[in-house]
Amino acid sequence: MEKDTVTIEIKQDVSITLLWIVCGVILVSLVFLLTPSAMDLWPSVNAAGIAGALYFVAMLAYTLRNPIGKGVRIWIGVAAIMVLALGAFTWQRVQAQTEWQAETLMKIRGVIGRGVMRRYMSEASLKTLDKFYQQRGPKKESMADIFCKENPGAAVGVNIYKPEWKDDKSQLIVTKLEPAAIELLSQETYVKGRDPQFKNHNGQLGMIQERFIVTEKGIEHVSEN
Amino acid sequence: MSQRIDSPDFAPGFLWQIIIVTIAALCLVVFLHGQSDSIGTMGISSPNSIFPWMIGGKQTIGNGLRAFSGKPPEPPPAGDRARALVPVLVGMVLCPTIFFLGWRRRRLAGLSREERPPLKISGYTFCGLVTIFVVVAVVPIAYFGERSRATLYHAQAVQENRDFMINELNELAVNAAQYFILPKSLGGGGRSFEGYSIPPKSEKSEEASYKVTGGKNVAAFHATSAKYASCTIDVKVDSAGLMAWWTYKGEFE
Repeated sequence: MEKDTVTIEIKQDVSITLLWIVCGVILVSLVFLLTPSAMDLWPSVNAAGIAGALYFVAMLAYTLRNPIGKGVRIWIGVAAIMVLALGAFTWQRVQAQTEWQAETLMKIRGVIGRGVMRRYMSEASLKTLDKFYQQRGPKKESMADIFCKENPGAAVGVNIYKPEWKDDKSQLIVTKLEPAAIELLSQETYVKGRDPQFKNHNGQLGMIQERFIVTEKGIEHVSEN
Repeated sequence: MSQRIDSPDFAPGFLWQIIIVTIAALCLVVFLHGQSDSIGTMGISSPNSIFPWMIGGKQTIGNGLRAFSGKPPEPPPAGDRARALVPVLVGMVLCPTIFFLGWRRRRLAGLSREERPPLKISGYTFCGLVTIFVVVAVVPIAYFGERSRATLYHAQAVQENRDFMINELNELAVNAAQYFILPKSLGGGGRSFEGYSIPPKSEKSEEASYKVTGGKNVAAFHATSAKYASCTIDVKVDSAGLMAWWTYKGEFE
């Protein structure tokens, strides 16, 4: 049986174009795919961008070789440098902006977290202090008694926070419950505070932690981390 | 049977057709990925752009949002990786190569301007348009990008200042409520805000300066930003330490 064959002749300039494209695609794709980027796309995208820019410069140098006139070469060369420089600048600025936005989100989360913690701890502390000083008569209850009445089940080490929504993981832990002194502590489990080496109540390192100390003399707030 | 095609015009046309079909397919893939991914991933739409930084940025912000909710970061999905690579290939390899090498060929063909064949819809014109679009678009994108970044950074700085002031006012509210509750023998107001003054160390911070007017049942705080002089916050605190009647002025509004 006779074999069918199809022969396609490609002009030299077209085959050169094709060769450039194939080399460029392979170069950029390999650089992109071989750059490790576990959670972030930027390392791969940046590496591919640098490879693409190098390819572009090489291809442009090939295109502008003799006999293209010097004037045209200078015009296109300058324009290419400007475009590459502006592109690299914008690229880098967008990366910096998105990283800043991601960091800002966590900063905002920290501010919200601290605000919520302080609100719950101050509410519980002020209520206890207020009830303590509103007592009339010779027999007065201790601050701890009042606190336990206000927060049934309260004991040292117990989380007295009542979740307000399904995934509400806030904590309000009683760390001291003595007749004349109560200590409340609240900490974040994934929002970092000021000191990365700070040891948190639950054993974690570097998370936001706030403490309220209530005594007969008033309330002391300590922003621990 | 042996078939030999040696028409001098066939090969380039064949190549253009292949390239156009490939580009169209790539565009379709990118578009379809955009449609499927924009539903869901934490509300961030998947941008389809000739500029690869859009995809890198989307991934970074997506992981930032996950961290905000206490979830671990996710590796970029295969669709996003493809969407990041395709613009680099199209914008920096495919289109410039076809356009510039085609331009050189036309220029060196030895024909005068009038003799050159008119441009028609082809791979060369398409790639020329893409290349020129990228070249032309980079300038306004850099300019407007810088302007919008400056606005964004300023707005965030103002918001941050406002948040810090609210936190400091919360501290002062607790201090004032405690003064209200404590008996006069312990330096309190004996169930009145009258005579309350802000502790000297809290009167001024890096963020703002604070003043208070203590009445019988309400303490009124006035905070003036230290960073943006026209920005102020007014708030009233009751005996339980609850804050109400917030009034924001200047850029805080």
